[in-house]
Amino acid sequence: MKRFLKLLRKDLEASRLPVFFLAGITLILMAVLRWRIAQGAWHPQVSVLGVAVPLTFFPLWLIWRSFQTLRAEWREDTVYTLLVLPVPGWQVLLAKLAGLLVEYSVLFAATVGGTFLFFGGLMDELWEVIPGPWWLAWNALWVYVTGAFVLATLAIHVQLAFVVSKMVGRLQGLVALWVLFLSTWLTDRAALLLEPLFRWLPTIRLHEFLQLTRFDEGIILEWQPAGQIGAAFATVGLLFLTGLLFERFLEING
Amino acid sequence: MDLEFSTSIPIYLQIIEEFKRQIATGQLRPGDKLPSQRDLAAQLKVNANTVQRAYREMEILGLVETLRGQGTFVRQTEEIVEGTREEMLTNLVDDFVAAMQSLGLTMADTLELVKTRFRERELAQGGLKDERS
Amino acid sequence: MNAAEPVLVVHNLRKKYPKVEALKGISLSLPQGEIWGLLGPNGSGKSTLLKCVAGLVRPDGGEIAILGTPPSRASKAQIAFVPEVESLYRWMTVRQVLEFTSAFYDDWQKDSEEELLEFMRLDPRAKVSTLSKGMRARLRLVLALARRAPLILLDEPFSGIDPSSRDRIVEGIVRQFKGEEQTIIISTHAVGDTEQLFDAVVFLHEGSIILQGSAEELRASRGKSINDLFKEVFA
Repeated sequence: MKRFLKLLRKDLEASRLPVFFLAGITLILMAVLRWRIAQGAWHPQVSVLGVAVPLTFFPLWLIWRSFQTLRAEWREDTVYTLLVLPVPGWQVLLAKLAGLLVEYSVLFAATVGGTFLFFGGLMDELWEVIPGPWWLAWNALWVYVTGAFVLATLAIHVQLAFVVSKMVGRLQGLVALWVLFLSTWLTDRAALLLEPLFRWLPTIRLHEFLQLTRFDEGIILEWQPAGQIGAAFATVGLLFLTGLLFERFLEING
Repeated sequence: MDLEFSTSIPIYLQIIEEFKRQIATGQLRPGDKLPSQRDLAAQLKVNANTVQRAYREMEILGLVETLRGQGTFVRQTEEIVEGTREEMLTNLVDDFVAAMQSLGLTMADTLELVKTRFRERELAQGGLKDERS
Repeated sequence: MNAAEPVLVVHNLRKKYPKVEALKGISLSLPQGEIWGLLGPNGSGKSTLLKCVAGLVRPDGGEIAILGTPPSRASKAQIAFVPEVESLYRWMTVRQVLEFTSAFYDDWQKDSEEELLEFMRLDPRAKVSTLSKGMRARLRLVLALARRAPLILLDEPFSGIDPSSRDRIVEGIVRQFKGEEQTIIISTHAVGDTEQLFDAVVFLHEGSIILQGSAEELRASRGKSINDLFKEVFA
């Protein structure tokens, strides 16, 4: 555990500057927009920009980060340090994953927090419709959790594609893409195969869980987790596979 | 120990020679403690195993003795000092004679040369003494 | 640890890359308590050999046994490998590098760390990126020597660094070498300033061992320094 935390701390310290920079820029952007709107210079609708820009940019940035945190180790030759340490490969990768999720959390908090802080006053129509701020918080939490799972899954696929591409001498980009397709197809098939095993899981009535019925009494949104569970297991398996390849089969030739 | 060693001959032999010289000239007296192997290795910047080998050889030669937990000491026998001196002198003279011979000097020339150089050195050293007093 | 058991046994090790055969059947047996010089020109296979032992490269054939076990995560804990490339995190301070590395090794020696830090004249608060190449080399050596690792592998520790750093490193190795419990392999082509470190030397040429023996015995039998012998052999 101590070693895992050391790896995590290392990855967090390395990413500290860019993450806080981005969070800060977002808040500043939102503050500036709010200020201009308050002055009457810009239309309140412009506030949408303050939310839309981070919402589009951050997911893309995080996906790039999942690839960059590994690539940086090769570029700086610090991958030698990692491979020489007596740690399992999956721990190294999991630490990077955890670091990525921390980055995601900071940016999510900055975006959502900033939105309410700066634009809460503009959303009077919204406040009339929704049951209350707690409803927003509850839904925001589940958006966060879903986003975290999506990011983690994507990052694991990216990590596998990257590590495999580093095991070949040429056409690394092509190999990475090919592995990405393959691993996605694999998790899909695993989801299909394992789905019958998990049918006993209760169907989650999202329309109740997220209190969507407040808006529309007739709305029905259900989710049967059995399909995704198989994919989740397969994805975890991919993480261990990447760890194994990283630790035992990867070669570094300086 | 201030030893400029050459890497063309075994280093442990050079260490032994240096200790022999120190014993012969009285720099190291019977009963004196040799530097610890680790210290000497660090001083000379050589592998500690090399120093260890030198110390072992000197022990076999009867020059030193190792007392457990205390260190290595020059043995308390005058014969050793004498023997070492003799060995050193013989080697020096042999080298000198060989060099003179290779330069084509006869024994008579060599002896003359030695006498002259000895006197000059004594005068120079005497002069130095006068200046100091 | 059985003193008689060799710390490293390599048997008929082979490694082939697309363009070159790096190792052509290397066999070695390293006893505990010695410092060996792995000598050869660039491209002779020294790095490849060390990387195979450290577990960074998979050989194509042959066996490696580190205290009896093949390269694995467990053997990594017994080995201190300092690669030729700059493998430190440039944004870390000296202190952070030491804290990070020490967390992964049970055999880390805090007092050796302090001693070495002072001896190598490293400022704990300095960032790695601000250190000169020689200082970085010293730091990487501290990482290897501040432990009681049975096997230390140094891949070209002296290449491209200033003479004073090189001398510091040589002296550091002499002072911190743990004697019977440790074995150090140093690969280098700068034999002149370092040959007094070696108990034994192995001459590697294009993937094969062409000469091997005790340094002192080679000096006696060949009548020249290992450096001169090296120049003669690889002229």
